[in-house]
Amino acid sequence: MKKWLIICLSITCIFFSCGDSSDKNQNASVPENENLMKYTSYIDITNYKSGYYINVSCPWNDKSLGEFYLYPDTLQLPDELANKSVIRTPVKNVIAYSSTQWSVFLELGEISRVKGILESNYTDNPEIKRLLAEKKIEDVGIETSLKTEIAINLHPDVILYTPYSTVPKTEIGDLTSAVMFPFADYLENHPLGRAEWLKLIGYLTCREKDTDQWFNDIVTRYDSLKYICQNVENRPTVFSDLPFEGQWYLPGGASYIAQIFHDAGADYIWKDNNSTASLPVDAETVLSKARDADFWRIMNSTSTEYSYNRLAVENELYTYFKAYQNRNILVCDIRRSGYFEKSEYEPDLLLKDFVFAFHPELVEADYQPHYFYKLKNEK
Amino acid sequence: MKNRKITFGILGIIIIGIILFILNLFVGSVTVPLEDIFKVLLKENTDNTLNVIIFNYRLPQALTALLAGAALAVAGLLMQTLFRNPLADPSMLGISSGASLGVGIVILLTGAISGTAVSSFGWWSTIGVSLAAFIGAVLVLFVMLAFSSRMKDMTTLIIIGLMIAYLAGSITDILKFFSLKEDIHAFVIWGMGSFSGVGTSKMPIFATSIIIGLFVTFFLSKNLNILLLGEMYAENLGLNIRKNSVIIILVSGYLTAIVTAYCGPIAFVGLAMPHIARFLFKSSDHRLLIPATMLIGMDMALICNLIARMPGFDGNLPVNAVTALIGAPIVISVILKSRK
Repeated sequence: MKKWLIICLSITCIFFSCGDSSDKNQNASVPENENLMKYTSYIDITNYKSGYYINVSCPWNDKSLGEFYLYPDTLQLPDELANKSVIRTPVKNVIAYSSTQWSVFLELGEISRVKGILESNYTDNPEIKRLLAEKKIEDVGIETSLKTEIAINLHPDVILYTPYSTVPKTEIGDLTSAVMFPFADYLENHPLGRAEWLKLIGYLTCREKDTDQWFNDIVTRYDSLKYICQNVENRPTVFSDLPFEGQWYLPGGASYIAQIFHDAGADYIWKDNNSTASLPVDAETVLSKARDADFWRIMNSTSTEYSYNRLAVENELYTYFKAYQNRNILVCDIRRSGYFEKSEYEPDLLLKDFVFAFHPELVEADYQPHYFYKLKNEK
Repeated sequence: MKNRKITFGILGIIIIGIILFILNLFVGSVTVPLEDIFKVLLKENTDNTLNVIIFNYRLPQALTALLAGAALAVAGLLMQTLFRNPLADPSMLGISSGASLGVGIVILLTGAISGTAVSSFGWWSTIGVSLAAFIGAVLVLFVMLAFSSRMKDMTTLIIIGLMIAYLAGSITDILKFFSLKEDIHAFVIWGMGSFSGVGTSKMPIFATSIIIGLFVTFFLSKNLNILLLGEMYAENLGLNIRKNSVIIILVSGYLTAIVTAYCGPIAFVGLAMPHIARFLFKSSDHRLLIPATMLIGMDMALICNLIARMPGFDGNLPVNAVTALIGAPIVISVILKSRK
């Protein structure tokens, strides 16, 4: 009887564990070294035996940010991986640096695997707030000053961190047995490339089928909207952001947001620039180039709403822009819309918001924007 | 003979200032053809953008540079005479550090408390930042005034000023350490200084406040001259040392606080300009030094503003990066020439 129970249990385990041999057979059509990531520039994932091989790179040097192997914890680790960075899946105790990471766990119903997050007071997500209150998730501080002891005490097996060229890796990786995994989503310059990082969470939690489906749906919706905007006759011009201390920090012409402007059937004023980073540009240059732009996109991270009057008080120069005069300012309330948490995985909605503003005839008339809406005129 | 030299010197500086001011209107990252500039100035131009750039952007910026340069330079002169220390400058009173702390609290702490990053460069950043800088600067100024009214020894006062600067600085550092990188970035940018924060709407109040302060300094020249003789002589001549130092600190601190509130902590101008004035005119008479320092400060700030907005370069260089870069070689060459 006992024997039978063990056999039954092990069969169940094999059945539900990810990347097992049955799964492998199903993927038999996929060649061993085919990259499973289609839109990303900085992460490659390929099948490796019953697991996966991942390579993360970065734009600031030729070296890789790290090579990792994901391997199901139900299977014995192949000998050749003994000295490699191996993450056993599904992961159990994750520390997530950014909301773009934990929001995927949350969406997949796998949030119980996340034990620690950073910058927790910057989120308005009710579920996360509840888990923090119940101490099911710990606040681990902020990037520049991690609460190291709390982090160690969480016994993480994976720490998903945000890699920067200038910030050295923290000592936390050496103090725990956790694998430090660079989550370089923000470096991707294509909206779909950024969204595709959600698949990584799928691989980590053995939910790759769900995340594949999720991502493929995003691609379908994004591409079909992009397709209908492709041949629009009139492409309105658009520019972006507000200055600080007299200087604008504009998105580069090859940046994420510039790509969305283009796909939404608009011409970004700085589209010929080929930088992916932000460009410091002084006010008179912006004024001379973008004064006649049809639309102006701004982000609001303050707790109060913007208005045309408030903008005029902030800087009198704004009132000379055509987009201001024609009341064509598109604003996103970062906090209320959950922009940083969710928009990365809803590029289709982001795109639709802009299409609704640029070409309202291409979107249903009663469409309600999710992130960017036209700033209302004061009464 | 000497008077003629002085007149020519002052006239020369004024003419250079006028040329620099005009260049500030003509030159910027957007290249404007000369004829178009005249059309704009003669109101014949139909292209509204040029009008806006020249009158609403370059003109207030040049005026801000001019006033801020004069204010900081003269504030530095007052400090150097009061403390009889050639290295004294307005930041010695801890006023710039107080302003930085005020701004640090607004930019860095509001984010940590309310969970709203100010780094969106929104409304707070323009109005709240000036206000916070001013409050921080004025608070430190009052502390310094309280000390100076009780103390006669200038060395002690310098040390107290430096200690307050360190205190404010370390609190700012702690705030920085616990802040998001976006907010730190905003704070760093503020700390680099800018002449573009005033604009047309805030120009009347900025200009009035500065001109009042500059005007008052002219009445201080007699007492400053007496101070140069040493405290003993000054007291024998009937000068109330404590009252006098309170007034000098008040005026110098007031000018620094206003400039820092609107332009950020601008270094170097206050330290270096009085030296150029002294070397150029070979005088220690404040009736001459005060106007000369102001004019030289104006010229220097205009040069810096011009270089910060060099054509062919889309961005604005931070003012603080330019002041010392341009100023330091000038000061060195002036000193070397005068020593020959």
